[in-house]
Amino acid sequence: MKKLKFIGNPLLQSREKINMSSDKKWLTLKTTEDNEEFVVEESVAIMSNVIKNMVEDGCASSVIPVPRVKGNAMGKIIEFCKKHTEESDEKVLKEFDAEFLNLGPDALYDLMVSANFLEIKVLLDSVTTKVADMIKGKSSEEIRNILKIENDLSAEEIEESRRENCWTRQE
Amino acid sequence: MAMPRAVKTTRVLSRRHRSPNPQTHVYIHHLHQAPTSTLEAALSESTMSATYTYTYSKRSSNKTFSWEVLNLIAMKCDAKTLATASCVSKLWASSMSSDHLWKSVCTTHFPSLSNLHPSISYRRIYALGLASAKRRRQPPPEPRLSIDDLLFAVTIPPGKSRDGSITILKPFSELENHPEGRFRFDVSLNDVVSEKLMVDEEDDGDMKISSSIVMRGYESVFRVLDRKGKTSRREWWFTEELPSAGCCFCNGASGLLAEITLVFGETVVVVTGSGTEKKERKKKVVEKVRIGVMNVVSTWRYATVDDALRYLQHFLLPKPAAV
Repeated sequence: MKKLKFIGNPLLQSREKINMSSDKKWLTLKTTEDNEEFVVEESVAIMSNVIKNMVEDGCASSVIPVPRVKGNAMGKIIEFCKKHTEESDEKVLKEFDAEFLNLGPDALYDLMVSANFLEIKVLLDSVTTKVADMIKGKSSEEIRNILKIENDLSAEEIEESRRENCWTRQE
Repeated sequence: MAMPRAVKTTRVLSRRHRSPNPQTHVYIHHLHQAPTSTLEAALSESTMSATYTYTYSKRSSNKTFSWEVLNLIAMKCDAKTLATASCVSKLWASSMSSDHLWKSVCTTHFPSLSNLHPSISYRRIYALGLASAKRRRQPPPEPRLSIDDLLFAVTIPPGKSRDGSITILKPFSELENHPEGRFRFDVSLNDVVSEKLMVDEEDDGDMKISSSIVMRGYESVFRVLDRKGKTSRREWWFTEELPSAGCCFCNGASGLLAEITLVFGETVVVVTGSGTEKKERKKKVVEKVRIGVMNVVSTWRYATVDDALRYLQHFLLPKPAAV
């Protein structure tokens, strides 16, 4: 296959839904995990490479099913994409991103997975940078607390990793 | 439904290479094994000795970060963060130790070391590079000599203006130190000799001065210099390159220069003879005698007191017993 095909629904129809009132095209994205539907402008939706390719290939029908993305994550993503297509001022976008990404680790994780899946580079970069900043300069115990990760290393593994990484502490 | 076993490659697979079955994804993951403590052991290990396998289901748990996501985060982290993050959990340890991450870090910071040996992991090479940089920055140890243990001795020979030679012996603690802790000390002659020390430039131009540094208690002596000097209106100075201390190489120079200076003060007119044979000669009075040690390798500056002490201790202190 020469271009990416959206995997999930093999019965896609090659007909796009056109909005009656304006020239803008509208798409409906439906998250298959919790069956929520979101109506978005095509110009906003094509921030996602996956959806963009689908539209270009002519596979986007009236409703696009989106697996693996939760409803609330989808909502957040659409909000992000909308803001980024409307605004072009860097400073405003930066402030928006900082505010937008003020979330807990679970929500950030969902966003990351979804952005990775939908191939939204801008969002993915922002979220990964945010998480990387969250763990920068922290000890491993602090990282576990912030991101709520269980410590499943055995005593000897802990000792070994401490030995391997002790040079970080000697600075 | 039973999930098939899955393994994952170190290259992050692009989405385009999905397996035909969209329900589960199949990857292969190879890791560099954590290196052992000795270089020989590390060299003897193969690079692909550990293979981690895990299943990646369609409905991945909320609480666990998947390898893909961790890889994306890890790409944004610096070396120190990667190392600390390797201690968080098993999954994190395997992701953050992945060599492709460390390769880019390593080639950025230590490009010359990056091709050191194929079977040493990049993480290990980075740690080596860091240790080497740290060691190069280490300052030298404190000198074992103290300036209070030393005495300055200088002998000014007889000349046209005087009969006997003059020897000055004074502890460094009583000398005037140049500010900033540099090795330059002055002794005022008024404190030392009763009569003025005068020199006649035309006659005494060939004067030879000798100087030593003496260890308190006369345990050892270091001969500083013993030679003729150069003259100018205000000062006469005598310099000699100091020998190498012997710790690094035999016949080279130490990069240090010893300098004795006679600093002149007033000029007096001395009248000799009487009647028609009166002669008036101008003579200069020596106000201070100065000793200094200069560093002449890259910049001509007086060496610090600590550096000079570290140099002198090779000659004045007994040699430490061979281990």
